[in-house]
Amino acid sequence: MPGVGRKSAQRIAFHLLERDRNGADELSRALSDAVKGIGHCVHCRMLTEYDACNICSASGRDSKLLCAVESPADVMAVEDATGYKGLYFVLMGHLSPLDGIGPDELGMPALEARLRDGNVEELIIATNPTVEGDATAHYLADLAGKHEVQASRIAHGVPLGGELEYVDGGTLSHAFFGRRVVD
Amino acid sequence: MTARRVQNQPAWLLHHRPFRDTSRILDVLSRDYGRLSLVARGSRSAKSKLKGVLRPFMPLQLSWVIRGDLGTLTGAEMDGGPISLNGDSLLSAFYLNELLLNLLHRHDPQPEIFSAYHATIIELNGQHSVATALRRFEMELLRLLGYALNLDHDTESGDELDPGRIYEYRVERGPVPANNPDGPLVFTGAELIAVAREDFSDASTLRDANRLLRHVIAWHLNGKELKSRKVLKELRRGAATADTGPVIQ
Ligand SMILES: [Zn+2]
Repeated sequence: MPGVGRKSAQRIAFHLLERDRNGADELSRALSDAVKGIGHCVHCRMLTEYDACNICSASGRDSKLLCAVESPADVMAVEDATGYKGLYFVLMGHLSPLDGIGPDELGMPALEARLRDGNVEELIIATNPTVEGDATAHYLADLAGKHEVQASRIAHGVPLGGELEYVDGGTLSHAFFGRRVVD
Repeated sequence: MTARRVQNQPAWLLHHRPFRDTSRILDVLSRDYGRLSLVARGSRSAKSKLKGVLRPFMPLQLSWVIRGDLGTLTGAEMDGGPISLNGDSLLSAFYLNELLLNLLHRHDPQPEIFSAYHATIIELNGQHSVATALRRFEMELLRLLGYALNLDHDTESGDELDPGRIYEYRVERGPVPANNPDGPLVFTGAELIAVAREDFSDASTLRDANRLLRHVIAWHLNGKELKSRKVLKELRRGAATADTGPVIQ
């Protein structure tokens, strides 16, 4: 499991089995409920136990703004750190031609349908600053352009409080390409 | 087996996949050691400085130690200015990588293929025609692998190609005279001679080269379908930009 090494996994297993059998029972029920009950939101593909996720069914979200992200964890990150009040579309990955992951695997037809129906005014592209994330962003921008939806991509680069000489070359060049006019 | 230590080797990252929690396995094309796989330990962790550097389509200098088949990355730096491919160039570059992953043997140094790849990435980064760059690379790659196309003589008689005749291109041999003008690999002599000259400013020559190379490469891949080709087809279906010609079919 990500974030849990073999040693930690063993400690957790021994703790649950030796000292907290009730806890183990609860955990196994929660996991089994999650596996059975959690699917993808029909609108944005976020993980949810309902047809539509909390965000899509909340009142007061701005449906003119749509933010495309790679993973459910990215939705949580944007929710926690920004005051963003629009909606999301979760790609559950990025374009990866060598692994055979293309637009269909990323639910692009559903995303395109949302761009086509005319309600969305801006597509905010928040894919990762990797080559695959860049490729995905280009394609999304293309789709948005096709349906006359404005597309923007979140800025990537030098961390706040960072010093240029300690930033790796790739990050710095990405920041450089993404520079903008100071006004 | 003793470990070999390689320092600051010019290389390109062809593909990468997650490995354990925070690491990745890299498939790289190096100038002097050919294609090989390296483990990049910790390269997916939040603090890794390697993350921004280890990108496909970026000229790199890599250092590693290797004992057996799988090496361990010990250092990575950018080698020269950054390259920022986008749109069709970027998508086509993935195809180049898959081609190399399938046609190159591991640990077989091919410095000329390394140079040809480098030149093609630079070309894709410029304002050139993507399709032209791809066809030239495919022809060069076949030549350097020892599978050069025969585009100058009839393999049955040994005579020079007659521009006015019809030939069928046999992948293992080359052009042989044909009577039936239909067929996936039937060309006029003039068409084959034009492809040999690599003057792809003529759209029909580019189409002929595409048709010929697609079949020849498919044959060398033993019928294996390239995943990037499938994905690119899907992408082109949905993309807004006008079809600029047969980049990849
Ligand atoms: Zn939703």
